[in-house]
Parts: sequence; C-alpha cells; structure tokens
Amino acid sequence: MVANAHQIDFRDVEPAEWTHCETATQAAQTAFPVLPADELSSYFELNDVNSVALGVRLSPDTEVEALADRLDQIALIEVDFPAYTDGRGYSQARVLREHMGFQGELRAVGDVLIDQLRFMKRCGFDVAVLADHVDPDDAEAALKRYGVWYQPAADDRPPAHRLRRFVQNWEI
Amino acid sequence: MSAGHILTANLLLTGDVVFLTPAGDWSVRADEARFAETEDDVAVLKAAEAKAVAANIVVSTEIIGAEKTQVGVWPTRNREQIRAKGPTVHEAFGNQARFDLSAFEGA
Amino acid sequence: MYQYDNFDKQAVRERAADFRDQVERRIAGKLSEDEFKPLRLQNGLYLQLHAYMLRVAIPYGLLSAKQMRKLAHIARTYDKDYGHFTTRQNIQYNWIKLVDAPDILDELASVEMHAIQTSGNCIRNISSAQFAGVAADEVEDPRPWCELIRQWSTFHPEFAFLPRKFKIAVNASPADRVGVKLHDIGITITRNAAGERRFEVYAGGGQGRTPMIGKLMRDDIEAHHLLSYLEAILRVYNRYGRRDNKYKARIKILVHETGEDKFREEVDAEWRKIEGGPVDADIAEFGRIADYFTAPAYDTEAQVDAHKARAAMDPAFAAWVRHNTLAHKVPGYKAVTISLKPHDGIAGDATSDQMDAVADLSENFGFGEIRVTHAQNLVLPDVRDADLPALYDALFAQGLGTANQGLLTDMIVCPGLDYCALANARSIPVSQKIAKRFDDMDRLQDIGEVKLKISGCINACGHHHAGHIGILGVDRKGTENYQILLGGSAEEDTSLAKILGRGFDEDGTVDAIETIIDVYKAQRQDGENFLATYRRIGAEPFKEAVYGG
Repeated sequence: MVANAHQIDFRDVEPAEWTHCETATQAAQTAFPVLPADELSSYFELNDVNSVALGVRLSPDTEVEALADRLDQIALIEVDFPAYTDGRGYSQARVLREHMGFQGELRAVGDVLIDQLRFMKRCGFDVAVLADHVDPDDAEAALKRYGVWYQPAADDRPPAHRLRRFVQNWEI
Repeated sequence: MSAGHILTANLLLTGDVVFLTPAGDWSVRADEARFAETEDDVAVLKAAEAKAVAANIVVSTEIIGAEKTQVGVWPTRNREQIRAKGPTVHEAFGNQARFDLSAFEGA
Repeated sequence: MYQYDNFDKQAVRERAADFRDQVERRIAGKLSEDEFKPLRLQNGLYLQLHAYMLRVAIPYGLLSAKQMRKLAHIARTYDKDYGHFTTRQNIQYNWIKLVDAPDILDELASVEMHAIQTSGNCIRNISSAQFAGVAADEVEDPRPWCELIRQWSTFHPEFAFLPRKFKIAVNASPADRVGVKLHDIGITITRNAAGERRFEVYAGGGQGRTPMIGKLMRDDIEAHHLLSYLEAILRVYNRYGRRDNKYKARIKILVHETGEDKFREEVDAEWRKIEGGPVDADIAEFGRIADYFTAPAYDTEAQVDAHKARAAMDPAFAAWVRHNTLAHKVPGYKAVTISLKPHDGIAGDATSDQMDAVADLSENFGFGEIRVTHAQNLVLPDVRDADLPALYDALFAQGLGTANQGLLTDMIVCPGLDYCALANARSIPVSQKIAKRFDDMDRLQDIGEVKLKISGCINACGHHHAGHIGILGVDRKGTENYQILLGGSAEEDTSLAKILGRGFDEDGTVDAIETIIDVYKAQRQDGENFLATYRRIGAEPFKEAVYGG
C-alpha cells in the first residue's frame, strides 16, 4: 500500500503487507488490515475474523483513550496528519506510548514533510511515511542535523539537562 | 482618470515590493505597473501571477485596485500606496527616498 | 545572566544550519511558500508590508552589552540602522532580505541569541518583569524560572504545531509588571502561609480580537511540579483547542467554551498522569540555572541619594529621576528606565548608534546588563545614585533622556499600517500627533500616570484593551478611523477597556484625548491617577465631554 511512498524508519520495525480497509467486514477477511478507528468496535463484534494482525488508522480527533481495551490486539497504529500544521498527532502518539503503554508500531502518515520528522521521532513514532513530493535524501539529512534536546519525550534520548550532569567539559 | 488593476507581489529572495510591468518584468515602482482595464487584461495579470509564483520569483501576490491619471498608474487603497511609497513616518525608507513620487502625493 | 554551555551553543548552531537548509530548499523550489511559511515563522521571519521582518528573541527581556552591540551591528549591516523593541521584550528588524536571514542567525548564535519560536503556532518567548532581580518588592528572582521554562519549551516536540500561538509570562512580585492575566499562561511566584514557594498559574487570558482575563487554574503548584503542570495544560490545549477557526483557536476560547472548572479538571486529570515523571526531573536543572543569576558585586559603600545635589538645581534631571528610576533592593542603587518614546520619534525604535551607546552605558554604569520592557523601553538595572547625573547627561546626548516613563507620552504603539501587513490603520502618526499636542513636561507631570496604548487593528499588538486609554485603528470604508477605549489595566487590578463611542479621524482623536484628559483633571481627587478617577466616576462624564450631551 505504500509501494511508492518513501518511509523513514526511526526504529527497526517488522515489515508487513498492510492493506487499508474501509469497513470491518472487509478487514476481517484481510491478513494485515488497517481499519479506521471508528470501525473498530464493529470489527471486534464479528465472529468470522481471519486477520493475522490488526492495524488502526486514527484521525486527529480520535480519542486514543477509547482504544485502551483493545490495545494489546493492535499491532499498528497509523496517525494521520491531514495537514502538517495540525499537531494533534504528536499528542496522540505520546499518550499512546507514555500513558497507555502501546508497544506496537506507530506510523505517521499524511502530510508528512521534512521539518516535522524530528518531532515525530521524539513523540514515539517508529516510522514516518513521507508525502509523495518529499526528497528522502533531504529528509535524512535534516533528521541528522539535531543533536540537542531540552525535554524528555517518548523516545529514549536523554535531554540536555541529564547529559550535563555527566559531561562537564563537553566539546563539540 | 480610469480605474483598473495592477499585479503586486514581494520578491522571494529580498522581500522587495514589486509590480508587474507591461514588458512582463517586475519593477519596484508602482507607476511602472502594467495597467489592466478589462477582464481580458486582468486575465493576463492572473496568468503572469501563476507563472511567477510557480517559478519561485515572487510571493504574496495580489491583484489590487489602481487608477490611471495624467501622472501615471497608482494604487487606490491607502495600504497599497504605503507599500508603493514606503512608511509615512520614515521618509528615508522605501521608494519615496529613491524616486521622486511627489506627483502621487495625496493620490 | 544565563550563559550558554556547549549544549545550548550547539542547539542554536543546529537551528541556524537547519534554517539555512530550509531557505535553500525554498529557493530551490523544494518547499512551496505554503510549506515554508510556518517554518520561517518559527524562526521569526515574517513577510510584512515592505519586506521581510525578522523578530529576534530576547529571553525575558534580558540582554548583555555584547548582545546589544550585536543587535546594533545587525541593524547596521542588514537593516536600515534601526531596530524596533516590542511589547514581548523582543527586537524586530523591518527590512530584512530572505537571503541574509541565515547569516543573521549565525551572527546571533555567536552571541548566544536566536530567533527560535518568536512566531508561529508554538510556545513563544517567555516574558517577565523588567525589574526582575532588582525590584525591592519581589519574593524572588523570576528569571531562573523563565530560563527553565525557556529550555523546556524550546523545540518541544509535541507543541510545535499548536492550534495557535502561545505566550507565557512569569511575575514574582505583588505588583504585576507582566500582565499575568493577559497571557495564555500567566505565572505568579508567591509564598504560602508557611513561607513556602508556590506558583499561581492562570490560563486563558489574552488580548487580540476577543480579549479575556485569565482564570486561576491552581495556586498551589510546587516547584518540582511546575513543568508537568505546564505540559498538562499544553497537552489539553493541543488536543482540544479549536482548529476550525483561526480566530477561535487561542486557549482562551477553549477555556471559555469548556468552562473554567471543567477545563481545570481536564488539566488535573492529565497532570496526575505525568506529575513527578521525567519532565519534572528537569527541576534538577534549576540549581545550575539559578547559579547564573546570583547578585553582581554591588558597591556596598554606594552612597544613598548621591544625586540629590544635581536634582536640587536641575528640575529636568529631578523629573527624570522621579519618573524614570525605581527604588533598588540595594541601597544607593536605582533601576533606570531609558525611554524609547521621544516626542518626535517612533515608540520602541532605536538606532544602531543608540544601541551601541546603551551597551557602553550598561558597562560604565552597571554590570553590562540591559532589559527590554513590555512598554517598549529599555532598563539599566544597576545604576548607583552617584552615577545618575552622568548617565542622564549621556542619555540626553543620545536622544534617550525623555523623562516620560509612565506618563501620557510613554505610549505602547504597534507598528501599524506603516509596516504591518495585517494592520487596518496607521498607529505611529496618531501617537506622534498626541505626543506633539502634549509636548510639555510640566503638563505631562501634572497629568501624571496614564497608560495610553495604540493598536492599528483588532489583533491588539498595541494592547489597546489594557490601556487606561486605548486607541484602536480601524478601516472605515477606506479611511483610517480610530476608536477610543477607557479603563483597561494590565496590572494586578487587570481590567479590559471599554469602547467610549464612535471613532474619529486622526486629528479628531487627538482632540478627543485632550478632552478626556481635561475631564480627568477637572474630576480627579487627591492623588488619583487617571484610571482611579475613571473607575470612580465611570464612562459617562467622558462620553458627555467628547460627544456632547
């Protein structure tokens, strides 16, 4: 489904052939379906489910807390950025990771451009699928440019204040 | 005196206020702007606008109201006149410092 | 003042390099203007009426002499020899070229400065009291807390694309010098009954087109919970703030529509999940930061009132001391306000030479430190009484000796339609006409304290809602028109000014202001300032005088 889109991996993830499905019944007959979040309850009411793993696609106004009961059955969550200026997906990602303990794959999709990648990485995304027109080399270069962060987030990067305690005369 | 339109923008690289000229170039002088009186003329401005934006030459384009008088073409609105001249509180800044625009005083 | 370590230095260098790359991608056509605009805004670069405008961050308004000289150098090299100090304690340059902006950021980085998050829908520069650290009435120095919040908010990965911009101010004295209740978040550092440090946190205040007074969220936040509490507010706002309408996207609308109590509950629910977590561990950083703000080596033998002899024989100097200096916590010192409001000038503007001169004076008469005030003036915080005469003479020679701090002509004025792409009317010319009408120091002193604030559109950058007298420029059928508002305050008695009636043209506005001042003078009772009289007698007498019976 993302054959032509370039994706940036922040962490190693298990590759899978995910397929976007619009309805629960369609998803139930698909090996690796990605289902809109509001179809999720219908999906779990079905008896005849043949999926190997389940993916969910969020919209920016999805209440991620509503996924809590089913989180251990979800392998992939796609967080949609319909416009890159809509920053709700960053909070969705942090809440999923830090409050709800989601361990599966977290993927940023939609209007994903270069200068948002560093924030996505820090908010707990594993993968960002670049918008079609984005140059992947520019994206990789921009992502490498930042080494200093001031606050803890959902990644394992130590913020500057923690490093300062160990590095007295740190030279660059 | 007749009413019409001109195409204004800012140059991407410098931010300078510019106006589309009859030759299809960009001038910092509003009085050198291509004056569009008919709908067809305005369509020419719109085509030039799209082309220049696509070529990353200008940003913040706008087709604005203008008037053509004996002394030349000049924007209608106060805001656009200030853009054409420079800030009213700093005579040393903007086009008013570079060119004699006295003909357009109180225009 | 705070000094960068290698982490901070690397951070601003990385940001400058990143912006250079963004500009190159824009010029190469890899970024459209729509894609580039929010990026340049997050680096303070606007496209204004005549050119690009670059806003440089001055964290909580604090500058070193070296930094001020760099600002002068930038004005001289890349602009037209001017800089404009803003109500959020920053500086902006009005005539910047896109191609120069990366070089300017490199120059700034070399003196530990930047333009990070000075615009865009993110957490902006943290503002604070211009007399922080020297005012006799503060419970503690708010600046280390500002720096802690600055670092937490810089490149915050979750809050780079909020529904709208987000402004935080920190105050630490009973006198509110920052407009606590007129910010998205306003913080007052206090002491509880047991003498322990507590943070009062207000949310949902702001000016703009829908002015609102901030609501007290909690008054019991402890130091080691400050950042988690801020993060909780921001997270609730980022998730639920309106994104369907730019004009309803500020947190004040969310607080208002959700309801103060329900909003507080939502924040508390979020806060309980993160309090004491990793973000609060950053409090370990506080001691390191606070060490940079220890008191300088004050002259313990500084003679109190050493300026009195000059004051006795020079009324102009005496007036300047009276209006432009503030009692210092150290005897024999004063904090001096340098007025950027000469009666024939532009509020907040300073030339390169003036900036250099102020840098020199800050070293000759202080410890090389300068403050920018939200009223668009500068402050030298540590001047010995004995040095006041020499400082006054030097300032006067630079056109910086106007003795009008807090008086009618010490106006807050937005750039207005002379510079701003959003403005509907010019602000500066009407301010200049008012200054000319009242260009008489005796008269100004007799009128006393009046906060006059002028905005050129409803976005209210000139704080007209918060002026004792506010002026709002509007476009009425293609003509500039000015509405007058009365009764606002941005201090501890925060109130929003109300429109008096129909608007005026420029000259009519000046006449109306004079009429309003005449009413005040006729009605004032023993020592009342303008606002006190207005609050006592109400708007009617002013309406009657301005519009007739």
